Amino acid sequence: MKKTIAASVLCLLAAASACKNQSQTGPTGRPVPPFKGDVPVDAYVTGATPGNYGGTLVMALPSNPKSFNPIATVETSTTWVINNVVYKALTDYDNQEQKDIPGIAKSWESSRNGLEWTFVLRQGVKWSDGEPFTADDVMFTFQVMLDPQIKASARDLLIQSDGTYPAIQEIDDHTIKFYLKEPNALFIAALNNAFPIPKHKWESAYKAGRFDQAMQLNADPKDIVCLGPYCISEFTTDQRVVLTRNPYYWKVDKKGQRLPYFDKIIFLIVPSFDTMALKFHNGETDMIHDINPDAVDLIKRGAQANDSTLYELPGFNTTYLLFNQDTGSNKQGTPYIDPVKLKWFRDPKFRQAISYAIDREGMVRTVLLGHGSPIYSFDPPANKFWFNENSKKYPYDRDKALALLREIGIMDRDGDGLLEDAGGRQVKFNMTTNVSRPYRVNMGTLIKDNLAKIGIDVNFQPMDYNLLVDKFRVSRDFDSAIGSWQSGVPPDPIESKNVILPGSNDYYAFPNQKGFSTDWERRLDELIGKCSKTMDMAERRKYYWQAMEIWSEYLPEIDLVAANYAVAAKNRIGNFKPSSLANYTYWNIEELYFTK
Amino acid sequence: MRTFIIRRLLALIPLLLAVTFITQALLVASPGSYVSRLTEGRHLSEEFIRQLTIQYHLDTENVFIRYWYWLRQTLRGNFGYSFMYNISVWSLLWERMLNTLLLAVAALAISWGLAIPLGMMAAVKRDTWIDKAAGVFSFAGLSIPSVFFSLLMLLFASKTGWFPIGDIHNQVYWDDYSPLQKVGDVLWHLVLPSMVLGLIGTAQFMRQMRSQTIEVLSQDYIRTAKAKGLSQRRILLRHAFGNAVNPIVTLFGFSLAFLLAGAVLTETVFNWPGMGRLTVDALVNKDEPLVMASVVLLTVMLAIGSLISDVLLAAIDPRIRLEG
Repeated sequence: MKKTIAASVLCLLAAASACKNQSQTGPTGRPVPPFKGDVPVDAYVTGATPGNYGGTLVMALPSNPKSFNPIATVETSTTWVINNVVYKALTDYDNQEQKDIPGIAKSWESSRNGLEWTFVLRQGVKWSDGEPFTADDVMFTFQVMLDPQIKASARDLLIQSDGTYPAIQEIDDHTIKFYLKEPNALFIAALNNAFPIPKHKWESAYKAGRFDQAMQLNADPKDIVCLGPYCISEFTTDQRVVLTRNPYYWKVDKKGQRLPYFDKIIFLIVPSFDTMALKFHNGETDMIHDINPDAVDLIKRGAQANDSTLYELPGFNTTYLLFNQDTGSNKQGTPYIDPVKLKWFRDPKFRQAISYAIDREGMVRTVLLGHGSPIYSFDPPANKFWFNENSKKYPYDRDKALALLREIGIMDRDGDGLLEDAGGRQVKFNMTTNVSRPYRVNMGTLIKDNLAKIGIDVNFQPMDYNLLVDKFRVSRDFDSAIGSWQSGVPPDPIESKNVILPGSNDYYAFPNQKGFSTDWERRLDELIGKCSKTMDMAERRKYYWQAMEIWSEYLPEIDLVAANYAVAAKNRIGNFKPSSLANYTYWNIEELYFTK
Repeated sequence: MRTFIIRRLLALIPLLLAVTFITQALLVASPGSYVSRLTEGRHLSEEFIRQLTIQYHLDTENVFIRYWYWLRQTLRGNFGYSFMYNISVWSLLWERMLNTLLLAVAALAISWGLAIPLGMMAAVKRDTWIDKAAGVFSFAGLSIPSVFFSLLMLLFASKTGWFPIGDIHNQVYWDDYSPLQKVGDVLWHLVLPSMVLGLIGTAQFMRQMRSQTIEVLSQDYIRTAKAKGLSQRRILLRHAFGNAVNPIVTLFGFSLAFLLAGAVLTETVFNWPGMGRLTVDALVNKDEPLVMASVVLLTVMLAIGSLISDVLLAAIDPRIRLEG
């Protein structure tokens, strides 16, 4: 008995000593492990401030990566670890300037009609195992990506209207040419998400039909040969992902020092947002992104003590209210929604009235605790290039709402304070949202309250996420719902055409409609189509802005608020350029370093 | 005894079949599938979605076909690959099971270690301030929600800096530790989550122990023992304890069930890589092979838990004989 007590005391002492060792790792001035090989002939020279080598950067992720395969990946907790950290694409994106920049291709040009694209690859670039990177690897990557047997979502951005994909030709070891059948405004964006994989490593697996099992979580990290600044070195599910420097990385700073600066990157897997915030607060992590509005104050308060700064950026996460305008009926022939309600919902004036009756400022103040801004069309102001200042706005105005409703025969007909339509039916509908999102649930409560003030009774019932998706996609039996969107990178609206194009899969107001149910939807479709097939950016924006004027006038969804995006980082991180687009705090991870 | 154990294990087979079939039926009947969850809100072609659906054998809504498919491959010893992680479900579950057991055993040790002496003391010193303080303590323990308690503990750790904020061990320096330091580090990380689970259990067991002891102390044989002039200490430990502890041992199986399945919230808040978290994650994402395998594992662990409590009872209580 005495012995076991002594042993446990010893253990605790050991733990205490371990805990005391826990001083932060700072810059050592020496890359460990050191770089290998020569600096590539065509090395990318960054404009960032030259930094200092050494140290381990610690961050947290809300869930596990699900694979390390960049081709067959469709899941954000995976892309947060591998995109632009482990893998790099031909083209890259500058989150701060919001523009395309060169990646492994040092330059590219397109023919005047936008149908032929030539890419020149950097010479002397090597994979993390020391093998040279050539046009063969790019050819192999596209062969795999476009293979119908492989489940690759990245190819969806390349698909042409006749169902084919662009043809690819290898001109020489460092030149690649693409031939398109029609101009595609998103071509560069598509390449931005097409991450080359090493042919020498995976060709045999692909030929044997085992590509789906390649680069999975149980793979030997040594086999996950990378082209990005950091390579996977260890993964323990629900605990951590450890990455170490790619000794052959192809970027250098202005002083000619090779990148990246940190020796190691650790992503902790922390499912609870509260725990994540506390971990940063206590200095266990160096950076944190996607901070909940209610944790912003905690982080702000701790900023002085742990020498960090909180940045609040305009966000890309938007919330909307949507009315079901589906005229279809289910297999039994019953209409999805009550025809009387459908008549209200399909009337643009009804939707405009609801939009006027919602107090967006109040929503920002109470639900987002002031960390956000009202929006009136699809894009948030954070989207510098595409945001349309001139779309129609709906400031909170109950009288205007009531006047609009009166125009379509909806008013208080029997003096009970509630509204009735021309047929005498009380205006009352159901509203739902994802029950596991407290902010959306609070917004729903607020909308219910706002609409009660003009005499409309809303029955608000949040539901399980799976059930909601089923209602959106399959059963279609809902009146209205609150949802939200998060933009991809780059934030080109055409990337979300499955959402904004009338009749598309995720145009939840009325998906998969035959033809167009209204004239404005036809016009919307036309303008968005033009925007996606034009190459000139100014012209594209002109079309898109016209489309958004229709959008904000007819409200296929009533856009409500854009939440701010809060991130925080230790002050000792150099070249820190926070962004509200992925990878939020570390999109330029190779340039980050510890100043002390 | 041996035949008893064998019979109990054989009875597990129909139980497992029933439990897994019901699980499969619920998975089919509840709306949404792994694919619909995965593809929600993203730009993916119909073709791609169809490909995924076929690959995961989600193209039929018939429970029997789906269950047969699972059963057939399971009987061949292959529990399948997790949809989410694309690796074999056992490689995911194995380590988690150990982590969860570690947490459960520590929590049980804390709750039994505190509840039994405290409950007996409260019974002996009935209606004194000790009893009342124990009463207040147990009511507080019973009424405080585990999430809230966990968060309080984390705040405590954050304010004092005495304990780490979650995780099973230090994630940054782990590789540099000596084996002894590793053990110490895990124990240090174990303190707070096992305290949360253990203290909640303590409250419950202590009430039980107190009332049992009071009842036992009023029995005739205790009076006889007193009349024989035995010391109070000997009466309590030799005569009262064995009889009073009986129902608590019976509860062992149940408390194990609670700790295995009910620790999800604590595991999530403390970032403890246990089975509860993995299973709930799998359920939310409808990762069917993983859900099925963890249901099998949990059922087996529960059956073993109740078997252990039966065997323990037989060891403590001479009146109980385990016969085939």
